Amino acid sequence: MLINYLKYFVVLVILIFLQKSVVWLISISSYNITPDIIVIMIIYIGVKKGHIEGAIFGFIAGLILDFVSGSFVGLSALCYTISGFTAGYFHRPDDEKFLEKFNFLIVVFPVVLLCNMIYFLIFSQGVTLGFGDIFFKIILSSTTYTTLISLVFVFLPKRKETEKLA
Amino acid sequence: MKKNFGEIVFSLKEYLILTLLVIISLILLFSNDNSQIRFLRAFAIGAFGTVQSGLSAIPNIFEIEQENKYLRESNIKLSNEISTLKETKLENIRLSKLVGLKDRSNLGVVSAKIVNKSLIQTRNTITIDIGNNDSVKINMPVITDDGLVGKVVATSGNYSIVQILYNKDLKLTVKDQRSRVDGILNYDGTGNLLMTNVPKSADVKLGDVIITSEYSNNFPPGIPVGNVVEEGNLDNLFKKVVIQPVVNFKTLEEVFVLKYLPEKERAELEKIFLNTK
Repeated sequence: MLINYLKYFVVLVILIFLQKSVVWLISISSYNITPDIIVIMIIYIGVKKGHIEGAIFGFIAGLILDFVSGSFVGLSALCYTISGFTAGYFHRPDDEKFLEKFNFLIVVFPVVLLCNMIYFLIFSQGVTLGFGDIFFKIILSSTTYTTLISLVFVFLPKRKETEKLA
Repeated sequence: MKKNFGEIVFSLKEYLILTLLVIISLILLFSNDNSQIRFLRAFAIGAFGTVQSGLSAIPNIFEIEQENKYLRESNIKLSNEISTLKETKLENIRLSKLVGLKDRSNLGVVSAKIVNKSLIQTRNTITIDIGNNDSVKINMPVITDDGLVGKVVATSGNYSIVQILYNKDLKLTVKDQRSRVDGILNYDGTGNLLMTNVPKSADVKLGDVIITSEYSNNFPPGIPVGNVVEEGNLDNLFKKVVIQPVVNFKTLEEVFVLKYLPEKERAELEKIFLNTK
């Protein structure tokens, strides 16, 4: 159990480094929309383990991200905590159907949308953009991009499948 | 009764944990200027920067070609400018002696390598590999040989975070080099740098060079900021002036921190005057 949690932590730290150093290379549009690869992992933890694990790992990852970026400390922690907790609603102790193939996308889209809504509505305070622009040009496009990137996760071979192949 | 209370708390443990974490996040969010938060941030920036400086040694093949082209063009342009500048420098020395101007060239500069760059959204920053140990202080201007990049907003021992022009929190007083018209430069969060507070009748033309103004206490005057790429009427009173920065932030890899700090006496006097008004 503890080893699993440690694995999640290490993966999250790696993803934070990737998010801060590499992900901007695949930014799109004049608004530099980038996918959020950290939230995908937090959603995975939430669905796999439940509300508490999702919220705690979300909080820790968000806090690390806040500290290493020049932005508000606490904002990413708040968004990721809520995202991890919300993903926990899709947790089924004996059935991982929401982690299977495209079902995962059904979870990712609404949770990332909620996360981005909280993040950008606070982050964009004082910007000359209207709510419509923030929603369609930033929140929705960022959510869609993150959901598309989570397809990579869908096509990653899971442990059970690799065992079966072996 | 006690048992029932315990059972209720246990059944609500998920929501209690969520509430606790949300409250901690909100407390942190509202205490961003706290000294302990600054200390933790400085520590995290230091640790993160150390790893990132290792990663930055890996060349970015997507940008090398573009950067090469840019450097070649820049080289030709600079060669032409050197001869002009030599003449200007001599003229400047002569004129400075005449009018008793301060010699600004004695401002120290420290070169720095960018180890992380965020060009996303509305509050963009870069992380550089020098900090307190190199005498870098908060509010010091950051420039390149092209012009203004931004100013230092956070420092640790060996790293600093720089708020760049594409950050809506950075506002600076600028002026049109040709017509001496003043304005305030700020980022509108949508990819445009705007020079605001420019009256409709002001003489601002496309291609005009925009420089830092002597009215700004945070930046030395005369640093190139950008060129006017769009000008039109905003409303009945003011113009809309869009600026293209002279610094190419996408290919930016090295910067210089200018050892210039706002004059305390001037800042305090202006603060006292504004407070008593």
